[in-house]
Amino acid sequence: MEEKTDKELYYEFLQGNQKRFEEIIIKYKDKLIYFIQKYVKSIDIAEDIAQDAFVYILIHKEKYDFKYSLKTYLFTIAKSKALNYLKREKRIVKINENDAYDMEQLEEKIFKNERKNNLKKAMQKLKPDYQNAVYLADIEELSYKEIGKIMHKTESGIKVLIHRARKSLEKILREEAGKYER
Amino acid sequence: MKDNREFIKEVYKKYDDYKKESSIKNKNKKIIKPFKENVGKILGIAASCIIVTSVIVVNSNLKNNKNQIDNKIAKVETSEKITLKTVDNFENFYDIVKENYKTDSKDFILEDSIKYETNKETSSSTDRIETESTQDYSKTNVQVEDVDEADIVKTDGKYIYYIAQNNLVIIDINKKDTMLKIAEINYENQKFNPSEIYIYESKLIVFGNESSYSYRSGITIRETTDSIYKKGIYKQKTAAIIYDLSDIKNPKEERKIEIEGNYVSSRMIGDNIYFVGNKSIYSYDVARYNIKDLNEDYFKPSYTDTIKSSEEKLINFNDIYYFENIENLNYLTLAGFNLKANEEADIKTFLGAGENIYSSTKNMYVVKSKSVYDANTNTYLGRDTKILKFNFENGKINFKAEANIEGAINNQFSMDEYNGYFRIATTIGKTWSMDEDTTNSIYILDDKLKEVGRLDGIAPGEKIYSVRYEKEKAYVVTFKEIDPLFVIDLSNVNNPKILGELKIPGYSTYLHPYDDTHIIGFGYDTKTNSSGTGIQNNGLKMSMFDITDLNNPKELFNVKIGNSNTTSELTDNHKALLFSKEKNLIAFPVRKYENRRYLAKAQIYNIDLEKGFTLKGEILHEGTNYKRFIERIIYSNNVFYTLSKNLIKATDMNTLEEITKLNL
Repeated sequence: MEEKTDKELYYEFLQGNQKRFEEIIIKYKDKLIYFIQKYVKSIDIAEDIAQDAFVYILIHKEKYDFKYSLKTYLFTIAKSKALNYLKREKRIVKINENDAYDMEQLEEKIFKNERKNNLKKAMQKLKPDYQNAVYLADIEELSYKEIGKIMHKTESGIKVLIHRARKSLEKILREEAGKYER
Repeated sequence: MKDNREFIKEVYKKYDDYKKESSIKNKNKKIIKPFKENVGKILGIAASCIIVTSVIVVNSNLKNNKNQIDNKIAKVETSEKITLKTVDNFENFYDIVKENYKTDSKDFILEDSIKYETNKETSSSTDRIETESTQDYSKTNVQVEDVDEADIVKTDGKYIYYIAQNNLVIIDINKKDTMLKIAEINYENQKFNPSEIYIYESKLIVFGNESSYSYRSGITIRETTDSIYKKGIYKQKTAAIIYDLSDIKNPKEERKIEIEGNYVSSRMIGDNIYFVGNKSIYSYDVARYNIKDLNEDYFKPSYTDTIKSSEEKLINFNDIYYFENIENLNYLTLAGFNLKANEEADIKTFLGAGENIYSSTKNMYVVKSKSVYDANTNTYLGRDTKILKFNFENGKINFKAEANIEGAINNQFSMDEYNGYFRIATTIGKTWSMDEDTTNSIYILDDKLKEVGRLDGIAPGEKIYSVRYEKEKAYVVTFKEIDPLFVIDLSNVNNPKILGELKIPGYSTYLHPYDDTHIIGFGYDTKTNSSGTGIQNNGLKMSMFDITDLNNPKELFNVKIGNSNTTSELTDNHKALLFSKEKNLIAFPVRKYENRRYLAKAQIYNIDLEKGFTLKGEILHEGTNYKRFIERIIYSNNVFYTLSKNLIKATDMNTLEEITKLNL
């Protein structure tokens, strides 16, 4: 069967088709976890927060405005849940020993092809803010406007951020390449 | 990291916890009454047109806790009335919707896995006689003989018709060594999304959804700051587009039938097609606004059949039927039409809902399950299923009966009709949770959907993964740690009973009859997970069950495919199976995730009751793109065709050598 668009999925979920909700979860959970762990630095916690984001959708299912992309909406909720968490938990997060392995699995799912894989390695060397902006722009292919909504910045602010991020990224990639040349 | 299922389960748990908390806060504010009584009352006074701005929270899906616990055994409620009432007017509609809305937010379904409605392939066997005699080709694997199910691909031995992404392509396969794309219907820039097709003589019927987005709203007041007003409305229609293929290179659209709602399913019986659409009612608007502020027409479902005129028609409230105990407030629309007659489609609209259908050659059963909550604690208890029975008569649809049963079905294969009796198997209890108190039942209902017999307490603590009926027998697979296959005797309709049981590791999600005494199970092998706390999938598994001795079913042999990263569409969708007893052949797509890439292939097995399944070979679709995933394997004139979104490959059926391929 042809894959349904996000809006179709959500619409059918609103109609009472809970399977569609589960499809949305499966489609976005890894992306959200990856995105959230940039803030909270733990996959376990990111998973927990991603669940909270979906619970939020269940509770407030009528709140979604079909004018916007569902993806943007999900990332927006995830971001605010992550920031709330950081506000609430001022303690230092202990690192789960499985995290490295989980991280590898998660990245495997998200960066499916090689080009993106190289980018991923370079991205890890960026500042967290840069990382997420580039992630949303280059991996999730969202527009500046959409990223602005998620990151609570103006469109031009995002433009500048991504410009800077890409510049650093370029530098990192060049340095990487240089290493091999030597 | 958690797997999808675990993750989803926890989301629901958290949601349940949230609801529990909020229900404690809200307690004492509610007076709970069964919805059934209330509708009667409201409709009773409908003539006086008084709107009951009720303080009563009506909860059709809330059940008395005590009842639930005392009654582990299943119950059937049947409505004897064959004539249904109609909604009549907007005032009644408003009342019904408003009352129902209060419970509606509870209506969500808990599934432990994502299941899509699946279908099998048949193409009309009696038609295209000119090709039949010389051509040998495969048909969609369907549930019921002579009841065709739509699929993403069909062939008539001369052409392949395939939905590749948003296009429908017609491939000429008249010559064995070439594949030629001779026509393409492009829906790329249209609102229509094709999902399934039928082929009937020289007609192609494409089913799909058509969606549009508008800022029109049903509220006639306050064009101000109210956010609901600003919210756009997403409209969805189910459309059947009929093309004339007299000139195969230029398919000509000759008719389009549209009903409101999303496409649920369809069946083709002879030259008649029946399909079902399900549309939500904007009950949120009704709940929030006074009837005077609502635009009546906006709430009426519409339909179009271009056979007579292309005008969109509204269905009036006096043509909308409703059931006394409405459980799911949607518009359920059934449409039937004849492919040869020059007659408008028969369209019937009900306040109800459907998510799964079973169809014999004479009757269609539309079922919808609904969550049931404890009235006091608001905790989730399980699901109930409503059955609506319709009779077909040459393209016309008539409502026959309705019933409610306890529990929820697995898929269309949970249902069957035999000798006028309807058989349905359900899992009762919290189906997504393995350690909960589940049990399984089979009901036998007569032609009026009155219960005549039932079998309760099948595999307590487990849930049904697959069912298949063969005349007076039912085969039921349940699972918790090992897979019991139950053989159930239904010959005495008043007293169905378990004859035999087989316990083996793994579980089958699809059962396919091989012959009178053998059945093939397709599903997963399982193993204990690394932490030793549970069971995880360990690759695909196909088994041959011997049921010669009904009291003592045996697993004759099996084959295990891949590891926990291996999946097949066949585990969710019976239409992905290619089976031919005559050709001694079973084939299906297999997908594997390994070394950071996907491997897409089709596996072809020979079957020998002595020697077991023998892997005859594999057909690979190279590349890592998901568009290379093989969706179906079909054959025509000694050639296998494997289909993926951007590639069709032709392979010799005997040598398994690649003949040619076609990039889409």
